Amino acid sequence: MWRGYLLGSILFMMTSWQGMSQDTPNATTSSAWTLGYGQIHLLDEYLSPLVYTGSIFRADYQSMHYMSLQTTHVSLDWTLTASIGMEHNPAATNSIFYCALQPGVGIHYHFRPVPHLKLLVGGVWDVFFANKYSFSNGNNPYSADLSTRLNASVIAQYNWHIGKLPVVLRYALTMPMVGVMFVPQYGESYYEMFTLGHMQHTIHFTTLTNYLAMDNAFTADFVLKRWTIRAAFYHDYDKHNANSLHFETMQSVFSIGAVVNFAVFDHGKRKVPSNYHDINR
Amino acid sequence: MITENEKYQAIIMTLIDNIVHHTSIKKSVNGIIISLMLFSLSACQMSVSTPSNLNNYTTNFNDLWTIMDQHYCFFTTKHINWDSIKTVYQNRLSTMDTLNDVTFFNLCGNMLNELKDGHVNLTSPFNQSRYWAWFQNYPDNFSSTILFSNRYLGQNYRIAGGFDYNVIPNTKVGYIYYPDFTYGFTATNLSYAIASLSNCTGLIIDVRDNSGGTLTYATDIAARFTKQTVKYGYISHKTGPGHNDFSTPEAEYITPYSTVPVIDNWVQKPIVVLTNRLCYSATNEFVSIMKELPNVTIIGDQTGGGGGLPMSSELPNGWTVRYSACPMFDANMNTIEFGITPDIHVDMTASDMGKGIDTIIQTAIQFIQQQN
Repeated sequence: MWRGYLLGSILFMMTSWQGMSQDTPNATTSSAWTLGYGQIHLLDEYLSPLVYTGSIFRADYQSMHYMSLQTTHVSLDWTLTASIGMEHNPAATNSIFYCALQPGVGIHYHFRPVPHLKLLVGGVWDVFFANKYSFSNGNNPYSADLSTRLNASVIAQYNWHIGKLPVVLRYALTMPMVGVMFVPQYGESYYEMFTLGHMQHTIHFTTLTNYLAMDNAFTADFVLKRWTIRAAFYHDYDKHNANSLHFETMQSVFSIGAVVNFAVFDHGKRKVPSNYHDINR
Repeated sequence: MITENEKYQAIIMTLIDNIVHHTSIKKSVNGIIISLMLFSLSACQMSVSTPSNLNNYTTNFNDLWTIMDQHYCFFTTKHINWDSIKTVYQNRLSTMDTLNDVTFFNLCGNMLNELKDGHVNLTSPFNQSRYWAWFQNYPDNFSSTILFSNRYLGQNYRIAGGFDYNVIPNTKVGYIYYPDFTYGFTATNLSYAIASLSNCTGLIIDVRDNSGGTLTYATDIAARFTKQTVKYGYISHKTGPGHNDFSTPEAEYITPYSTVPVIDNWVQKPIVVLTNRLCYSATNEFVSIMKELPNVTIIGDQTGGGGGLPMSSELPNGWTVRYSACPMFDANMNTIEFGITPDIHVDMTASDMGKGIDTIIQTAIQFIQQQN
């Protein structure tokens, strides 16, 4: 069964962006967009031994749909997080510009242990790319986090209500288990790496021992008459080390956005079929 | 037969069972979720904290010493006992009569100057420490007044990118002056400068008083004077905090810019690079590269050195420190930290300067004329 889902997910991934709504006329997708602002703490020993603190703007996109109409147990997720921020050293004499991009795709199995509560357990493959630029450093002004990870993912979703207003509460935890990351050598300059091409010992296999990260997301979806508003709190933590260098990032962001559940039934005739599955239930 | 009563009892029992079962599952599930949330949030905290008193002198002194201890690359090369230097300056710190930002800065600057390294600086909002003995204790061997007189560059020299160039009057010797490796240039700038001097019998590239800048400019220029890939040196870097934690030095090469006739022209002719003690860092590397080319001769004084690619760090109080991080070597694996010895050592003489003559340029002109 899982082989079927895996094969199905690969095929779906290849066709979903363009043809999802046309080729699978009864598929339904829940997509959410949020924009947020928060605080980031950053330690990058390649740039500085000090913890930098500052503000961060963050945008999140997330979509989820069942992998086929024959199941309400396995879903496919697409996620994209983009963030940009400016951090300052404790003495406020230098700044680091930070920007990051994190696309991912995952598969979850949906458990429904009790009414109104859904547990999703699965895996997410993602790529994390962060740029950090220190304004005061000479030959080491730039540092990049680059990694690709296989994450364990757990989502708890509870259908609640405030009076007559339906509210979907959600908590998601994503944690990388294994992966590959780029880390410069302890004292190696980017001139050596990218101008001279000396890249030895910069690619590392990651496990929980050298890469601990937890992405926590708390969301509340307020289901209004025509649309759904999402309020979210993201708390992401990332700690990794290699080549005697230590890197750490912690960000807490409050976001707000919208959730859109969309589907194209019978090629736009708006006739809801009997086997319509709502991803949020 | 089941009576109506028994049927109702069975239904009620089933309902109660379901409720009890669901309640216990719900409690367990809720417990697991809440535990997971609490665990992940408590684990997600920064493990490194900011010092409580950013301006504490002892903290900043120790941090400065540690940064250098773990990152500076020439302790072994220069036979420096950094631990004993700490002891000396720690004692001075603890016995200082007047301790304020200025006196503390001076103490730290003096400690760093024990490294005798022009790439080591401590920068505060009010001052920058520096070690300049690598050129201050030696002859200048350069006079811009003489250089820009009519005898050499004159008034009508050309400027392309960072290059000032001309044919030296009454000779067939081309002359390019590049005063600073931070002055950017394009490939076209360089092509024009070199091509416009292609009828000369030789070329002088003057990098005196050029204290360095961008390393890639050094290879960009040198690549115009070779038709073959040439190994010109090695570079290494720290792989850990120990004084001898270094990577295996890796070879560096220059590859020909192209094989157009302009380059064919210059690989057949003598090229002279002029140097003095103020040639430092990227300029020092440039001289080291050019020395590997068969038709290039270095004339002037020994270069100032600066064979460690510098990197930066900072103290809790916000002062920044720069240090040599990646040792560079010539093609024979000799460190270039202490400078490059010229092929022909010449100092400018006072009598020549009095006559408006640059002894080093004159020597280069004579050398090129002798080669033809």
